[in-house]
Amino acid sequence: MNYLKAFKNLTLNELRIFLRSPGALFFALFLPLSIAFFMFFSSGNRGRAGLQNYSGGLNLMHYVEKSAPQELEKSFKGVSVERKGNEIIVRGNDPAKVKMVASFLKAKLYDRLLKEGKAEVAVKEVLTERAGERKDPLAFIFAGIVVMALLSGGLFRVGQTVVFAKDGGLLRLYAATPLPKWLYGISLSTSSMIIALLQAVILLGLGVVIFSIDYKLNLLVLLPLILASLSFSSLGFLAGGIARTRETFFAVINLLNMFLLFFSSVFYDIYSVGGIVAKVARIMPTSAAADALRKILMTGSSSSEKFLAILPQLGILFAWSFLAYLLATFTFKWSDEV
Amino acid sequence: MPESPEHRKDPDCVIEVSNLRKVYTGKRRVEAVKGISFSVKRGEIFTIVGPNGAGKTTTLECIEGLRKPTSGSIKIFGLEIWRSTHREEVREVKRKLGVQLQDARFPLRLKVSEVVKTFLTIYGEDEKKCMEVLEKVELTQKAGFLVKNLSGGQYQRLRLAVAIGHDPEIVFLDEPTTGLDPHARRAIWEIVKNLKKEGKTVVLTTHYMEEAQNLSDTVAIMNRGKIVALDSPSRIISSSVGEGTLEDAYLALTGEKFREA
Repeated sequence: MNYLKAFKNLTLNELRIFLRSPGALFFALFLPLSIAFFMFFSSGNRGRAGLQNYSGGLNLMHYVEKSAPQELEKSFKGVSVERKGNEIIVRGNDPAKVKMVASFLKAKLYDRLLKEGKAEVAVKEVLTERAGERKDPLAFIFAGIVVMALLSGGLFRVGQTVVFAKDGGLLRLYAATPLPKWLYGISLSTSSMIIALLQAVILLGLGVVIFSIDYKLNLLVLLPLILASLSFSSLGFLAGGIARTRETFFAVINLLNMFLLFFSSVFYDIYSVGGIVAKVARIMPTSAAADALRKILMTGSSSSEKFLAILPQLGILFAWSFLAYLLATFTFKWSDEV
Repeated sequence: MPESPEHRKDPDCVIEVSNLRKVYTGKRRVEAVKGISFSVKRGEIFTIVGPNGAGKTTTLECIEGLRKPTSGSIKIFGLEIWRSTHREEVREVKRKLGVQLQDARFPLRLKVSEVVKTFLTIYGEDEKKCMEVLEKVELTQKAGFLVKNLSGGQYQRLRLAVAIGHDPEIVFLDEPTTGLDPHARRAIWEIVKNLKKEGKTVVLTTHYMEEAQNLSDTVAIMNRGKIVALDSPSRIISSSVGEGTLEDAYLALTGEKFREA
């Protein structure tokens, strides 16, 4: 059997259905944009203006270079670096405090990471990430909106396609053919990925043009976008395959969507909560996608530095894609029995 | 009841069903098929008729590989499709089957030609055959139409196109004429007759006795999960009611003139 031609047609069909469906186009583009417009007009401009004076906008790296670590280490003795750092960076708008924590982090991280040769990258990552999100909240939110759009697309579009095809008897018809389950899953994921990439490119482009967001556009951005889209579509495939009815599917998928969206760094800095919540949020695919996008789009470092900085997030996304796809193919049934 | 051991010894048998039993478990246990046996010869039109709930669709779906039998065996081209551990062999058998399901719905926003091309490539065929296939079911004029714009008869012919496009050796048709007007029904009959002329084996289920009588070489009448008659339409009529129609024989054999739908 020529799998390639079947794969091409199944993938193209999903793209055709998407492009011929006004509802799908609306949810893919206009809905995320309208959220961005809402953020922009309700608080974006005001927030932006106010933040020009906010200490987070200061160049933290400057303080890292200039301050005296020993002095600060004494004052923070016995306190967790991450906790204190988060606390001060999030709450503080006092340049002196920012300076303190920057130096302190630097000292601590250098001690721990020097041997691994990652000290510079780690310090930059911690500080520039925080500095970036304070600098332009709209840039922070917009990256989250892109992830939200990818999540909805992957979960709902793929899951819905599966559950509607199941409901309409199309999957049973596929079951009577030589079509393998994995090929069906891959074609759905691929079409979803193509749509997601187009969606992200359009949204990011409009973000730069309409909202004047200062994104450092870089081709590296494709990596988290592709992996995020694959993770979300695999989760959609999994949910659609397991659910027996549309009703069950929508109940499951809405819960999953809410969990992945709000238990992550998509819309706010969930890491400032600290503890187990921050740890769990960090391994969510949504957090990994949003963090990676922000690191690429909102920092001014070189491509190789950015790549190194997003490696953990890429790893998390790859693991989610792989495991969710594997589980989906394993549990997927064309019908109740086969 | 009527088994056909003589068929099973025939090397020309393409389908052999032995002691097929299917029990649905769940809130209510239902034994839909109660140990039936029959065989289908190459090139014949084999029709399963019976009232609602008789087990005809379940039987067909077990043969098509869509429902797992509780017990019994089903051989297609000599291969035990439910016991074979060789996936490639099963795929190879599936490639020789064409299936039309009574309730399968294609995506509404796809064009007729796109649906046919997709299924052609799933079966490993060249998608260029699309127009040729559509011609067989007289849908060439509708090739560029969206599925949602097809009438009931055209939709059914599209289902047929998908089932026969890859030139299968056995075609399964599950109530292909249900809900169609007389013209559309006759059009489907013509297609089925042409399949027979081409040497294909056709297994179909129907509620229409006239259809079964006109098209079939062999008819299996099912009632409450069992086969109550298995022979040519004329022999079933003569052995059960002497003379009349298949419908008379059917009513006599199923023992009920009126049933709840």
